[in-house]
Amino acid sequence: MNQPFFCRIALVASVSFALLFFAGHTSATEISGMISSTLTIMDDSELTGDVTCTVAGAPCIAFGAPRITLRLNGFTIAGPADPLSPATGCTSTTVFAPEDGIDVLQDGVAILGPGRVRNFRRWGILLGSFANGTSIKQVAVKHVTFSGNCFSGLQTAQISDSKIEGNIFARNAGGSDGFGCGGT
Amino acid sequence: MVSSNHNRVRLNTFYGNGSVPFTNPPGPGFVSNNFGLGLFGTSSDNLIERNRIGGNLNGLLLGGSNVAGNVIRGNVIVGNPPVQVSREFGASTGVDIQDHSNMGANTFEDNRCLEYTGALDPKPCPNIARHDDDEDQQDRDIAAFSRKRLAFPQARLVDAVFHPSGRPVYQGAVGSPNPGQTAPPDSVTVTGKVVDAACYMLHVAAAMSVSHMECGAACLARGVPLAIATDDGVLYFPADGNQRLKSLLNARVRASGPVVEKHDPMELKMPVGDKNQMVVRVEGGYKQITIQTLEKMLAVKRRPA
Repeated sequence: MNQPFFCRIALVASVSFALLFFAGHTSATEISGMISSTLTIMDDSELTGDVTCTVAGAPCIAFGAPRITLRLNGFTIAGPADPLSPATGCTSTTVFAPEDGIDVLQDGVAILGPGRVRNFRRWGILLGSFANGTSIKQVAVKHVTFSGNCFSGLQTAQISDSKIEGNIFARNAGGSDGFGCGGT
Repeated sequence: MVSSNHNRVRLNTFYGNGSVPFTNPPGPGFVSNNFGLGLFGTSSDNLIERNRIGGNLNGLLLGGSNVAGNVIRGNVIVGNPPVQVSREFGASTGVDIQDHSNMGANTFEDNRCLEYTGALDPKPCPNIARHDDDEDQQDRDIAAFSRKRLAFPQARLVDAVFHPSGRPVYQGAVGSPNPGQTAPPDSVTVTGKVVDAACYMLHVAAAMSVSHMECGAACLARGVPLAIATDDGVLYFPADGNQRLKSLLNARVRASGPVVEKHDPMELKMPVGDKNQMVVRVEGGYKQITIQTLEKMLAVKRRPA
């Protein structure tokens, strides 16, 4: 995790179109531009432009609080993977680095489209965790388009009472290399 | 989906997902574990409904004996895998539904599909009998409204059809001089909840629920009239339109002002999707209030009986 990190978040609440460069936790409400270290959102947030992720070894965006919403507003969150060159563009089943678009380990959160999550080196979105005794509930993912992610577009692990509705999953799992993957 | 329970996976589209291994290319008899939608581990009691699943290496994959209690209904699962994949890697590569769960552990209802591998007998595929698309579903929804959900005795669904959407109609409820007015205005105070009037007349319980907030807001944005619904079910339509009530949707309010009885029919048009609308005609009169004072009231907490 010794990667140089910064993220660019446009905060329009008080300073119109000002770009602030920082990493780590934020209560940002508006997100756009490049993210190179995991952005943890702590409050309702929304995309105000396309997002390009260059985060290595970690997810691009993580939820840091329960019961908050990320609205994609028709924009795209794009990872660095090349699904047509999976041997080099994707993480492998042995390394399996968590280079996902969005990781969710909080109850009651929502990711609402329209919007697109594409070309991540592992999963487009991971809801939950594979760790024993870890579970989340009441998550919603609606109207999001997942495409070109190396493993599954959306992976869920130990989630309950959640809604996955109105999404499109197209041409994911191009780099799964025998690992059981697909749309969801 | 791994060990995920009691979830709803509905109305999604899964097209063209999955690939064959690239480091160890498959040989004869290859069976892919890639899918459009997959349930693994102890995934149980999920509702998989009305999804479209095509062109994936497998359409739906139920991945083991602990996958149970799931209801899979109303999905269209065809074209898995693409024919080119079958030609390249063999006919066993994938199917519409690949089911490794125990026989009878999951429920398949009314899916359109062609190919199935698994223990079920009779197999749920091929099943080509089901005819459905969004238009059919809309027809059924409308029929359901008119059959059993019309809760307001003065309202009826006009012809139970969709009409092309134009600007929302708010006939009669706007405070212009109206020959239908028969009684002189009396100033009264009414207490009730601000509701999306059209929905309220179709289904009172739905319109009053918290879950209707988002839908009600969408209707409001499209110009559907608001009204104050009193505890005894009387609707008071504001004479000046939605302006004063729009920030109070679903709030309990007290409003005072002259009330008149209107006797001419009123049509409320509800948006349905982007292009359609549903028309509710109110007959037999309605009450219109010219709001002079308006205050938001604190939520009433009822004591348990």
